[in-house]
Amino acid sequence: MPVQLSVVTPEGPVLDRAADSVTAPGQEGEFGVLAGHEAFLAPLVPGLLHCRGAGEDESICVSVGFAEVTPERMTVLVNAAERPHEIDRERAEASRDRANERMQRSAGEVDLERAAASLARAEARLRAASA
Amino acid sequence: MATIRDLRGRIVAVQKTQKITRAMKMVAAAKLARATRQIQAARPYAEKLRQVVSAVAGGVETDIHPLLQARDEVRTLEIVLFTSDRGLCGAYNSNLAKLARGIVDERAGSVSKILLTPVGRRGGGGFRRDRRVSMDHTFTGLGNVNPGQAREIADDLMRRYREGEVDEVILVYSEFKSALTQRPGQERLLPLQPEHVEDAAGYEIEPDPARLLALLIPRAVEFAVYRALLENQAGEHGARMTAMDSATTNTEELIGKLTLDMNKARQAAITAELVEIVSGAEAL
Repeated sequence: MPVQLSVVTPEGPVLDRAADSVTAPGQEGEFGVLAGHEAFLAPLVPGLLHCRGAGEDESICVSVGFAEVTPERMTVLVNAAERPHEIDRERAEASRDRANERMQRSAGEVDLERAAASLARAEARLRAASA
Repeated sequence: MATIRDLRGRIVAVQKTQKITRAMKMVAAAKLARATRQIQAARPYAEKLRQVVSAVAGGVETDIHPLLQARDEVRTLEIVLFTSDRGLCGAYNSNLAKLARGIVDERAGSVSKILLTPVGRRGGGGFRRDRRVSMDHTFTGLGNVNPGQAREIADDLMRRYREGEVDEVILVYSEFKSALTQRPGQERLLPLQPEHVEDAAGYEIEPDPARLLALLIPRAVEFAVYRALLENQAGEHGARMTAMDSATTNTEELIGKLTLDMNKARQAAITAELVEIVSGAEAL
């Protein structure tokens, strides 16, 4: 039995489909979800979400958010999600370089945290684009 | 009495105004449609986020996260007033300002400081001379709203709350009911009060509730601000559409009246001329 995966962002649903297995970039490391998984809630970090089976295999790039898993469904709540072909490589590269530069210069802890977060986002997008 | 030429000039001028109001109405209608779509797109996310937050935060003590904790004494109150960047939308902005003023009137006695943060260019004007509030921050130039703007505003608000600069944050924005009705409404943003849901699903939480909430709560606050921005945007366009529609109707009336006046003036002129000719002929 497949698991029903939906990916939603504040700007609208991005994906709603059935999949045999889903891999998501959790904060504690990547994790896989199959149908019948115990209900749980986990934070996600920017990275790639893969889903396989029950239709075409697909990968999408997600930014920070959460995954809610119940035995039948998996709902991914993220700030943004893009399919690899939608990613603008040049923009992602530019924002990676900017984030890198900011990390070098940043003085405050908050600045550093923000720069690190935007670096992680940019790198995830680049990985997704080249995958 | 106005001459025929004067009247004709005025009719042309009113017709030009009518062209503008009609165009503005159509632009507002198109923008309203887009704004409504944005609201609808955000709905599934809103629903899920509310569920998740209440499932996690409902079962824990409020001291688990600083943004859930209410202060014993509210010394500084921050009112975030969402308005439009542009005018010509009827009483839309003044209704919002009126509500905000009502809150100021009510709370001014019990708190020592009120911070008013206008979002949108039309919000602060009426409060500039109000000694009871201070305006240290403003957000303008919104254009078409996006989640990034909400994040920026929310980050600022959360930082001030965390650092103890403010003890309560209230959002004042127009709740979007339909294209024809916008109701100014208020909502307490901070401290955040998660709704209690009865059918809260039992989750296994990784890594643990406290750390999850540390990530979840800022998202919830950001989203509340985003929703306020969205509803406000839709309200603005709805209000402008209504205002421009009635302006167009008014110009039609005015044109009718002026045309009537002009015809009367023309007839009077013709009659006068005839009288002159007839009396001239009689004199011969």
